[in-house]
Amino acid sequence: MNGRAGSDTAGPGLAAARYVLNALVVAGGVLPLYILAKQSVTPELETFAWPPHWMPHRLTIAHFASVFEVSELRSAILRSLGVAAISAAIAITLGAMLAYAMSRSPITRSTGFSTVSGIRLLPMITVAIPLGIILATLGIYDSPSGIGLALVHAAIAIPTAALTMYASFAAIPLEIEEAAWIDGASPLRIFLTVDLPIARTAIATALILCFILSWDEFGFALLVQQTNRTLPPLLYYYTVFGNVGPASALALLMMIPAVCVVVALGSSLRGALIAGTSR
Amino acid sequence: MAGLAVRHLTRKFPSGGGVFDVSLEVPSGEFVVLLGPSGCGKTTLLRLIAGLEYPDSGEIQIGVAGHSGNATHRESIAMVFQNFALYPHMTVFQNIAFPLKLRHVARDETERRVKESAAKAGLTVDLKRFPRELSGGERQRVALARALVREPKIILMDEALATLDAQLRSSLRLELKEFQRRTGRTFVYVTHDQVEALALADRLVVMRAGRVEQVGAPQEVFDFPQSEFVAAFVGNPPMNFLLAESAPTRGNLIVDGVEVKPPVGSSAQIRLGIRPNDLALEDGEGRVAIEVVVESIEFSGATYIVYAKLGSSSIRAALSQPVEVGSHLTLYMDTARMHFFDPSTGRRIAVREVSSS
Repeated sequence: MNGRAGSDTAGPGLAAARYVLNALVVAGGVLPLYILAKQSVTPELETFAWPPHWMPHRLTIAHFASVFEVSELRSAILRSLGVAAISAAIAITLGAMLAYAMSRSPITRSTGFSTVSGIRLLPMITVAIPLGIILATLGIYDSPSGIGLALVHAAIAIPTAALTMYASFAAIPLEIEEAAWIDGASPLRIFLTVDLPIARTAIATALILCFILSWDEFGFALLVQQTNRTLPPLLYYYTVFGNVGPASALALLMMIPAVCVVVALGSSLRGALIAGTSR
Repeated sequence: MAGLAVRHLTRKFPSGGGVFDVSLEVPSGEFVVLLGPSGCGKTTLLRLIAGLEYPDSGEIQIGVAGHSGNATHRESIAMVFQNFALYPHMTVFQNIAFPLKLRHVARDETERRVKESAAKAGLTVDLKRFPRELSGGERQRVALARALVREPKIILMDEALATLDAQLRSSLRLELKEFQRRTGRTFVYVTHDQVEALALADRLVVMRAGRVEQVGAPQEVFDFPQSEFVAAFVGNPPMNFLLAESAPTRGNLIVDGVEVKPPVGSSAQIRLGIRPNDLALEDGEGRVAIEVVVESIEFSGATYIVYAKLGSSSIRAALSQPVEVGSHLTLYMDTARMHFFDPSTGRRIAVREVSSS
């Protein structure tokens, strides 16, 4: 971990201090995860034992079983997946158009950036009541499908999507588009067959970010899906009502999409996440 | 056959650049080079011909029908860009096939035509590779093949060799000329490199500040530059210019005390131009001697470029053998190869007709 060039020249005291610091950082990151994982597989009595058990004495899969047995939980998982997928799809579609427009004209660039940062700076909770009214009017407030929440999440995610893709579109030389035009392509065709494929890494990154943004979102989910809940509010209710075991199991399950992404994409994702900045 | 005609074409930019009232006729199958310093409007003219810019006024005609920037116009042209503008996410095959795909050409015909133009462009690489895996020269060939595949009447090239290294540039230059001869297409080629322009052009168009300065065959432009600007821009090392005055007695020209050939007209001052290669160490018929002081010398491979002072004027000579720096030297100017310009307008004064009379 400390294989940096500086370690050769640093004194032994400094090296030791670095080890301690590294250990603290790792502990800070891993320990909560470990406790969560332990709680999810031990009976609740043991969770509250004093002094705490660092190693579980008894193991159980009851908490995970309960997560899948309760129908509310199953439908919440499906609803969360659906909301995240739909909102990410909408945000990427509209965000890509916005990012492209911003990358191609100084006027759309300045208005685009101010609109996007305006949305990001706006305290989201202040628009909760109007949003609720709009969704109720449309008849999609607290709908079982979660489509209302998906639209809200899409609106929140568009700035993120646009900003993630902006640099990649801006990096595509105008020459390539002009070549495509001379080759006989229409502007829409150029966007679809030239710009989008070239920016595909940024698009994939934006898709993941938007998906996770929705998957994680708590405030609007709590407000909009009062009874037909998604996972974050459900986890919240589990926790406040003291169902620590099932809550821990659910929390672990919620991490799966993030883990999948990191494992599947690994280093290429790291590259993609910084691609916009360095190119 | 399909030539290209540009009539009174004007496109002004807010910055003050652009092209102004440019007219040009290009017969079919000619290799035309637009030459000029950066900002002279040569690229704008090319982009106007391509339809990438719209003219404020004027007309572009390709073949028989006149158009400016519509789809029919676009059908008859292809363009090779400075950085080749290949589609990075497509293979070489897909790059070349892209124009055909847009026209819904059948698959086997696409394959046949892609292979045919790849061969014509001298492309020998595996067509399944991506542009990023190719060298600069190979990318150039892909861009050429893509331009050729839909059989355009005119191929436009914008500084298409500028980004390549010198050796590759000169070999591709030869190949390009050969390619143009073989395909019989009309080429319009933009460059700021006068060596490239002289080598490639059937017809050279020298531009300056948005206007056409001179049109002609390379040899003609080189031998009879119609303005001081063209004289200075075409030819390397550049032409020497000396301010000359009429001798009060015999009407001869005097440059720093040296009398040269009987001049033209009666203008008190005249600008005399002489190329460094038309100065020699040996005397001969029709030559005038000038006394110079050698200031410095540069070896250019084939010749020695001597920088000298003729009175107060600087003069450059390309000599076949080295001379000593600081020495006094007698150089002989070939009077038949002198150029005369009006200092107030910069235009050429036709000395030949006058001197023969």
